[in-house]
Amino acid sequence: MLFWKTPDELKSYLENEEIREALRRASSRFVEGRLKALASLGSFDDVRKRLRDVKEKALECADLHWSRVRDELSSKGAHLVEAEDALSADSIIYEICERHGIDLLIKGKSITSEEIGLNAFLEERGVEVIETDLGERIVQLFREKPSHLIVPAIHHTKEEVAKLFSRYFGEEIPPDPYVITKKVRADLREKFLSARGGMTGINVVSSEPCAFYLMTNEGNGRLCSTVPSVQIILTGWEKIVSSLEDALFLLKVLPKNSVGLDFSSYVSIFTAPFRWKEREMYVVVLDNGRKRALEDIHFRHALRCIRCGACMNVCPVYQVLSGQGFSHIYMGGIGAVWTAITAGLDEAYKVAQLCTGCGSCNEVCPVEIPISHLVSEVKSRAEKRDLLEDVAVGLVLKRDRFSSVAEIQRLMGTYKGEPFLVWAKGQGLLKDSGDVNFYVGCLMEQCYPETALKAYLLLRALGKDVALFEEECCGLPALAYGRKSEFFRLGLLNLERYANGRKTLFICDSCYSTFREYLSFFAAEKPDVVPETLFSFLLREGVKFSLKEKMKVMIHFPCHLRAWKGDEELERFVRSIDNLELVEHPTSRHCCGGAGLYKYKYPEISRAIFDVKAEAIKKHLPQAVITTCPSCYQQIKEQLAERGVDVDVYHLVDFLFEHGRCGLLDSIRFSDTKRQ
Amino acid sequence: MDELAAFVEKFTSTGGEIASSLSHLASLLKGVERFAAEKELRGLIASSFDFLTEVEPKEAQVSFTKAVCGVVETGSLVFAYSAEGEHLLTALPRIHVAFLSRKRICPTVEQALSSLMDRAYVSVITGPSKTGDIELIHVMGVHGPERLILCWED
Repeated sequence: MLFWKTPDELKSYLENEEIREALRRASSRFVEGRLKALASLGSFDDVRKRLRDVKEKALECADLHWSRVRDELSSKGAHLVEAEDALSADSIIYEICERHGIDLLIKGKSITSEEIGLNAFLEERGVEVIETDLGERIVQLFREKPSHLIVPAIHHTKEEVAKLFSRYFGEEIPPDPYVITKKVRADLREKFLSARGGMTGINVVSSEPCAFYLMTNEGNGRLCSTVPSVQIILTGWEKIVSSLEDALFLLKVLPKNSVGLDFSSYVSIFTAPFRWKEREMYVVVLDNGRKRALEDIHFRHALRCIRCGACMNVCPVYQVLSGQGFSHIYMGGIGAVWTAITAGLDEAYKVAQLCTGCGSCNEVCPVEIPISHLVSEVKSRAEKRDLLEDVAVGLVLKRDRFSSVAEIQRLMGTYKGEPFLVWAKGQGLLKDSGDVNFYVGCLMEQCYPETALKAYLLLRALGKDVALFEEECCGLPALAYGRKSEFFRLGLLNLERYANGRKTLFICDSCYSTFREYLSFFAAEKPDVVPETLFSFLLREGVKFSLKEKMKVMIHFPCHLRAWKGDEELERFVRSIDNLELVEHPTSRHCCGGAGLYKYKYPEISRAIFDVKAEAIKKHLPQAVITTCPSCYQQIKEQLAERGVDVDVYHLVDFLFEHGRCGLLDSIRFSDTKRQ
Repeated sequence: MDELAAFVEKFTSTGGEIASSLSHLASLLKGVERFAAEKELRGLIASSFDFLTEVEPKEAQVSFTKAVCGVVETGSLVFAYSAEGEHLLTALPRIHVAFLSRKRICPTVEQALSSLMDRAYVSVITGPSKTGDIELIHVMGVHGPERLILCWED
């Protein structure tokens, strides 16, 4: 397999319980705070549409904006320099340091400076660089990578930080954040007052008026910018927007979406160098792949990123590997895409491989970047291939796939009997006319043929004439593992087949989501494909179930369903079942870590992702855990068994047949559900 | 709720304090000795607070400045700097006291800034300097003031 790091190294992140606990705490606080803070802006969908427009509109004529900014700055005596790549940006900044005799450069937090490896470049040439954001300073003194975009040293306890500074100051520092902070304040204050040069990144730039907006909570950014006599701003080329109003809108959304903070303590706005003293102001505008990305129909979306980090707070992989394990320089799924833009596909692929594809990131992005899709795009473009993925995709995509998965099961001794559609064909049940189409899906059909049969019988009992086809794969594996042409081939084929105006019903949410995916690509051409999950269908048909006995149940909403907001209807269906007590828990909507092949490629990560879910299940001890995706079902069942948690796990269809009561079920003879 | 009341509510929710009078302000500044102030405030400060001695901004424990306006939407104070060293007053001391007229309250940041964009440097300050970088524990006063006090001018 092509692990981007040795599995041992990845495991070392997983073994650090403290990091995981700290990340979990930070994330849950930020996620909760986010919702509260955003409420003041109205509907999030409206907010993200508007901010997306702001960024899109500006990117389309970014060069024009920048030339305006350049003219304006030069008329005010400031300098704007464009840097084509990382090395030229480093060199430009070093030359500025040389020209002005800067031997100490104080810095505000800037991920762009990390992209170009600035600190190392300057230090090798004798310029001392000091980070002034408290978290960055801690990470700098520990000589490590940040673990979190907003709180870079979240992985250290106050005791560790106290020890670090005790060594640094040569005196005993107590593990008290207040005392540590004041000590660092005094130390850095001297640096602020003595440094000749200060550098910061920038959150946003507006072209009319020409202005640079910098946000910090600690107040270090404004000191870096205004105390030393030379001010350097390093900005990505994509940071430009048109107007004051646009820039302020971004600055209002960013801290809310990021950590649930209404507004940052300090927003500093620079429009020109101050004329007092001998002050100089330099703006270095970094391209490093950005302009090329704008021409790219996929990656251009990533240029809208405002670096709020909300996507990381909801990312299951990030939660267990931290920004140290799940990054090249840019972290998380969006980091994989930014790595592709700025450092190339090889590095990007290594990060992309670690993504489970759950899509939680897409839902919180304030500029509507389809992050998980772009991660698939990275995989699809990288020339590297993963053997396991190749074999698996090859199998499910085989034209005659009836034999493939079943054959492997036969070999492994886990054969579940004849695949459902092979059996159905033998019974003469395949037909292309009816009231509804039933799309069974590979896993349901081959690994759980009896569940498929029950769903089929349920539809028949409901009086529906069911159209059943010899199925082609939905193409999800091809999409997820970066074989896009294959995905499009299957998409077009399936759209053609199911474009008959009837509802197409699913018992696998992965297949369901893939059909929805096709429609987002080809919707205009295929208005008569109508995918729906079986349970949404039952809900709409008004079919009422109750349980034979009162039961306490937890549910796992598959990510693929959630991505299309299908979780809300599934929840309504489950709540409509009498005698069922649903245990509500936030982890019900978390990725289970199964993610198709993921659990085989990265078993340790997969297990670690499941931990939060396992804890919730152990705490509430429901009588059953139900879900509606065969891949999630397998993962939950295996993970609980491995941990010795004795809770039954069901696909919802099986659960209804075993514990449910309904006139419909009575009409289905038990013997029908057992195929001979 | 009128604009002023809304501003006060928001300003205090960000961690800002309000001094209702000069004597109230004096009581909030107990234990403080060294001050720095904007030129036009120096006389007022020296005559009102005899326990204070004027020093350079970087030596001062408390600074006195005049805000351009207050913003209802965010609870912020807006500062535009024109004289040398003025910006250090809002940034360096441990306590920052800003004077503001009740008449200068703006509903939004946009409105507050629209007439200031010809200034080289403008800052929008919302509450004290803060961090949560160590175990997410809130600490005030990292590089900027740990207390932000608003005193009405009128």
